[in-house]
Amino acid sequence: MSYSYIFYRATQSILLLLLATVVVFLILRLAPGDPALLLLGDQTSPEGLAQLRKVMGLDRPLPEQYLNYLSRLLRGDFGTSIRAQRPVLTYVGYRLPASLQLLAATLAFAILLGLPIGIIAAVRHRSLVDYSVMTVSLLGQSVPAFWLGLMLIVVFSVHLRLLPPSGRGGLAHLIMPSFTLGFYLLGLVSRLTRSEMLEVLSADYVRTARAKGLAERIVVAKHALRNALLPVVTVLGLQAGALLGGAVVTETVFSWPGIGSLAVQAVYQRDYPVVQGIVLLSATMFVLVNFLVDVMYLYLDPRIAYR
Amino acid sequence: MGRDKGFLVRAIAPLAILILAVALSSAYSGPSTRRPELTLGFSVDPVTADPRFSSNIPGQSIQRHGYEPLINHDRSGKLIPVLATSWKMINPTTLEFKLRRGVKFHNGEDFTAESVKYTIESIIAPDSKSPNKQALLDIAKIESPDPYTVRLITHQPSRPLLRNLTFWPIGMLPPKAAQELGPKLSSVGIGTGAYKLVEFIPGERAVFEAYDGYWGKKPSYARITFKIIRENGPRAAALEAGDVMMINNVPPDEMARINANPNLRVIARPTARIMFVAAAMRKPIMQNVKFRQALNVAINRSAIVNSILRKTTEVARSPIPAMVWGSVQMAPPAYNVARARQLLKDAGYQGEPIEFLVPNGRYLLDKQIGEAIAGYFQKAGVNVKINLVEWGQFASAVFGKSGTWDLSLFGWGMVTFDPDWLFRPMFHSKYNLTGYKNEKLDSLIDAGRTTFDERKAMASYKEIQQLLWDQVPYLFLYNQPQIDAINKKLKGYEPMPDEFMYFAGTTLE
Repeated sequence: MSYSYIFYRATQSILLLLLATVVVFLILRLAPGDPALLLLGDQTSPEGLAQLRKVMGLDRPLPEQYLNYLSRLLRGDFGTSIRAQRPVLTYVGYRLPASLQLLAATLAFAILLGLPIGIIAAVRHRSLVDYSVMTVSLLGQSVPAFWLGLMLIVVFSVHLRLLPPSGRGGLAHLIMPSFTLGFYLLGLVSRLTRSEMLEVLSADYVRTARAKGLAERIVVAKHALRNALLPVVTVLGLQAGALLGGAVVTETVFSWPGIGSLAVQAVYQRDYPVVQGIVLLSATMFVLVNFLVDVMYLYLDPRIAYR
Repeated sequence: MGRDKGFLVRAIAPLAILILAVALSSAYSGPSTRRPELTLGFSVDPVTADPRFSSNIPGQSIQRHGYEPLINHDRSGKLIPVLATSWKMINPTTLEFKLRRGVKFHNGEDFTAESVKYTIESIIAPDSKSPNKQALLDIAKIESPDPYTVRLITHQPSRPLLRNLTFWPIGMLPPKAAQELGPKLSSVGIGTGAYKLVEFIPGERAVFEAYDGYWGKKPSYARITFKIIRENGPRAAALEAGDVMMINNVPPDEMARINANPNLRVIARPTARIMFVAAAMRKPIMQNVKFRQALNVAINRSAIVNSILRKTTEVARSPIPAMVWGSVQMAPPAYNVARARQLLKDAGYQGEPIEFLVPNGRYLLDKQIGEAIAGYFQKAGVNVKINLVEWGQFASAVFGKSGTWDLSLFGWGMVTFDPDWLFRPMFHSKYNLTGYKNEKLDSLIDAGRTTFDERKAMASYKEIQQLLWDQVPYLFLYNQPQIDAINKKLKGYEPMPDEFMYFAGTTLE
């Protein structure tokens, strides 16, 4: 039963990815701008431009260009970056570890801190702890990343000289970017955990658990948390997919060489193959994470029986 | 408990001793005569290590530390020999170079005529995607009568070709390694420069190490690292934190804050990039010279230079920047709203809408300056509509000739230090972007381009500049400033007028 569900979801995912290639291909080419022109910069000569366009195959009709792209893609060829003149896979591959590293640190920060905070706030509902936790998490969700990032740089790099201001290197380089990115997620996770916990804690079965004399710790950790976690896991899955390619602001502020900022630069330079590669990669990640989240549901809530 | 503590001490003590030992040994690791390391913060990524494919000057500046051209120009535009020791015209279509002997590439390959032939042929090949190609389009073929002589044979006489070779100084490649490596050359980088590329991570950093087999002055740094920091704020913070010794692209409103720091200094200089408003001849009113003259005197250029650009540059006194060969300095158009109104009336202007296309984020403060200019036009009574667009869209509309516009704000870098670099693509009716047609101008441009007599070329160029000043096909504004900031420990750094940044000649205190 769950196997057929997994098969159904897998097929759906592949169709979704195919659709993504069509959409990104068309959007890029329908937007104004010409990669040959941007490669030449503003010192363009008409002869040079015409020659370059022809070499790059930009003078062919769109359907032909798309089919070329798709057939190469199916053979595992993601194309060559127009700017960097190197295969998209290795070009983006350089950046992917940085993105994954930042994502992992951010998720760890948000989960390890956000879950306990949310649980405590729910258990100590309407106490001073609850209010201060909620204020901090509201702050986390409302402070813009570029501002927070710059303030961290000013305080910890320029004045205190404790942490490196930018770039990727050791663990010290990871602290400020993952805090900046994780602070938002922390707010989201803790608020969501708190509200879900509050709801679950007032449910009948929790009252029953308490009534049969279980220790409060077991009631909270075993009975309540497991049910409260469902929406939190969903949101984290969605956020992880979005953050992989979408941490543009944080990546930019800290010069963190991830794929989000690379995608933005590639769009500005109309480096079609790179944009297509990154979108496809992010879409794959997104689809994969959601697929895994759905599978995880089966474990978290055995009642979910997919047909 | 006591036993637990004892265990902890036993576990930590050896570790602490080890750390201390490592710290001490690294502190005494080298003699004090070791060459220093230099780290710089750049706003732009070189994207590739292959000099044939770079398309921005900061990126080319980074590559320039590993690669060398045949010839280059100095601060005043004078040609200087690099890998070529001398050059001469054998006949009007043959340019001969004598090459430097005993030069070795970083991989041990010898630099010979074959290297030059391979490099240039790979750029001008029909299937080449090199943006440098346009500078070399005049070349028909390349001959090498002996290993240290190269002859460039052109389709027609081309005086600018020599200077075009200094366009984003075209770095010479080792033919054997280049053919073996193929596209991998975009991440490896093997040149003849004073520094060799040892690590290149796009968007992150490029690291060079001293090349001790260099033919010229021995490199002064053990290592030069270019860190890519795109955002202005974090780049300035990296300089302030002492992480980097120099940053480029400082916004004018940050200058005072950086200069207030006793360790730092802002260096602002006008470059050889002329900024202007181009006028398209689409509408009849735009073809009226009185209308264009009205626009020309409606702009308060000194206010733009003093207030928006904070005196980092000067109002243009010619279409050709003063440091470029052939420039004739003239009086800038005098700001006069009353005269602009009178000229508009004389031109018979009826309030036709004028579309003003302005790029957002390509040039220093382009949006603010475009808005200010639109304001001046409105003040004089011109019905101007400003259209702010991102650079890709701007380039398509203007250089790709796919958009409708009447005025557009952009700039042109005189990177070859030859007036032809501006005149032919911008004003010759066969090539220009605006549809402007002036037969006298065309013939003067052709004359300047095909003569090898610099005095004759100069006479043509003098006439062209006067004509452009009077007929106003473009409204010339100012020279684009370059604003860098350095840590005062860095000595001897001076930006080049062609916006190149080269650190081989600098020292660290």
